[in-house]
Amino acid sequence: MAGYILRRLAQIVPALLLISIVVFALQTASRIDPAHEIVARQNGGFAPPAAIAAKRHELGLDRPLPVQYVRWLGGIVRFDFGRSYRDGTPVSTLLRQRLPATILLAVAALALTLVVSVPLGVAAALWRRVRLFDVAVRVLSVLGASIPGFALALGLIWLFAARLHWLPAFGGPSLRQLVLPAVALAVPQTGLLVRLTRAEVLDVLGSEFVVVAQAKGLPRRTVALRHLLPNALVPILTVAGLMVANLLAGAFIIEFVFAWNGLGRLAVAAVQDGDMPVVLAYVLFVAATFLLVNLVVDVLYAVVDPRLRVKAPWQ
Amino acid sequence: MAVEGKTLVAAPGSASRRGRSHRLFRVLGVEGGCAAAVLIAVALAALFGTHLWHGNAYTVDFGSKLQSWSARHPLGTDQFGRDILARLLGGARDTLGGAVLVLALTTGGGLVLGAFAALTGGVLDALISRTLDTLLALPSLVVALALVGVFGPSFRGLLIALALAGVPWYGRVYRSLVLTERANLYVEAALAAGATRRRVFLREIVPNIAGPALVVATVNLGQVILNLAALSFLGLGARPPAAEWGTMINEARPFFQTHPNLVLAPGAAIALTIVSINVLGDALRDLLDPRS
Repeated sequence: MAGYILRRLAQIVPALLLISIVVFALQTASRIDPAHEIVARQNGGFAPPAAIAAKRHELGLDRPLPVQYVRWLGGIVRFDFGRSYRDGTPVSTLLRQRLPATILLAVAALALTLVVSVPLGVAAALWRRVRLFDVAVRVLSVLGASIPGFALALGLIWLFAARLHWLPAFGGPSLRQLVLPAVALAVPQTGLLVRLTRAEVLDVLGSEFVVVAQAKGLPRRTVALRHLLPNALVPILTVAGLMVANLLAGAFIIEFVFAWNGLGRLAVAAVQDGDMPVVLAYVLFVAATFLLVNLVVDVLYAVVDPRLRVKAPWQ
Repeated sequence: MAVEGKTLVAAPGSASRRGRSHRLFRVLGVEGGCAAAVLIAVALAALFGTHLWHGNAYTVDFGSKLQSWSARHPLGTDQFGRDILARLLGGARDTLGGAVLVLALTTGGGLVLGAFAALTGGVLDALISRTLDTLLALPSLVVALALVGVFGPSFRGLLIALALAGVPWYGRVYRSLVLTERANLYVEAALAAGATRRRVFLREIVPNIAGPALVVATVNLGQVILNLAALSFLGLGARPPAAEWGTMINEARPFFQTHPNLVLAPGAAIALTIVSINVLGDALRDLLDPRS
């Protein structure tokens, strides 16, 4: 098991390196000159060419690109992402301040998605002859995939905050303010997961060990909980993992709508202001999150399904 | 004889006439047919919308701002007194035209890259494939966001950013499509007959993967529209007074708590278009792949 985890960890390193090269290329391609931005900020918007040249030399921007890349990468490894052009705050400080809010929102949305969609998907599969369920699942999954998240978010604000005054719309992080953004994030994922759960359960329902279990005369509940669910849950695990990553990375639109002080809102503001160090740090964060979540899912897979722990002979 | 001839001619004739009026529905099913009809309507709106409805889409008229629906303004007016229906029709061109442009660019880029990798093979193919696989670890919306940061917020920059962000995924899809096609005997025969690699690609492979490529593009059109509208909504795309649907929703944010129709109209337009695309995509997939 430890060997398996180490092997998977080692596979992440080249991927991260490659992504770091791409991100560095983005920084180089950007029309914004870091030296100009920093000098302009320090001098109140005024940037004399001599000062810019001096700053360029100080930052090492006049050195060859490979040298710049290695220096930059050396900083990243030590969590030094440079300083924001806006007010000179270290980007790592900004990330640290905003990360908890983003994690809180992602976990809440994931929990909501799982709690709603797994039982609904199982029910839809077990009672698939009830037409109401069938129609509900289809409508939910089509709508979930089609309504833009930001439009849904504004609709929720209008209904529950402006009209009914049940919940606050903006600010956070606090528990009451968490509800609306979490729902807005969860709805599109719910449609997807209900459909997937239903398909998986139907798939397992047709397999021989379920037929055998039923033929042995086991009670329906035992068959459902002991034989059906564990086998259907394995693919759902993968999708849930992808969802965590999506929720951490893709929440920037919802965070923007609800003025939720997370990483995503930070990134959107940085893109609007051309604050490249923050933008690039966000991209690196997203990439690392995705790779790590994939690793965790793979390891969990190996825990659930021992066949995967063995190294295949062709590998 | 004459009677026989008449029935022979008349029977298929009347059948095809009856069939033609319902052909859309017969081929695609009821849902697919409705979806196709909605999409045709939206496409017509994008092409001719500004000629169909003589509302005021772009000029400010504070005398008639924030009106509710009426005969003159069927969907009401916005905070600048502009007719919302007229803006929806004008915005259809930005939103749909932009999405189609993005799809064309991504498809072109992905096809060239994927075909190059598949037909070259060897180390270069391995290098390109590994790079594309790794870049797929990043969600395309985040890549597009970062690219907008690089290009600076503008509608053209947003379109290029979305197109580039899609290239890794399309490149991989097209690489596998080309690889499958490349394994066929007729490609081998053309190569053996002395055709150049470029000729084989353009004359043998491209016509044969055009069908699947079109389905891939159709299925993804909805996602592209969503992404385009989302980033425009963040103020990173079309600038006011443009009537792009996402931009309309962004502009309406300060007013929507009292005037929800400002958000509801463009939001419903986006949702309806995307629902239609998704339903049509499902219908097309059923049509082309009866197994699923």
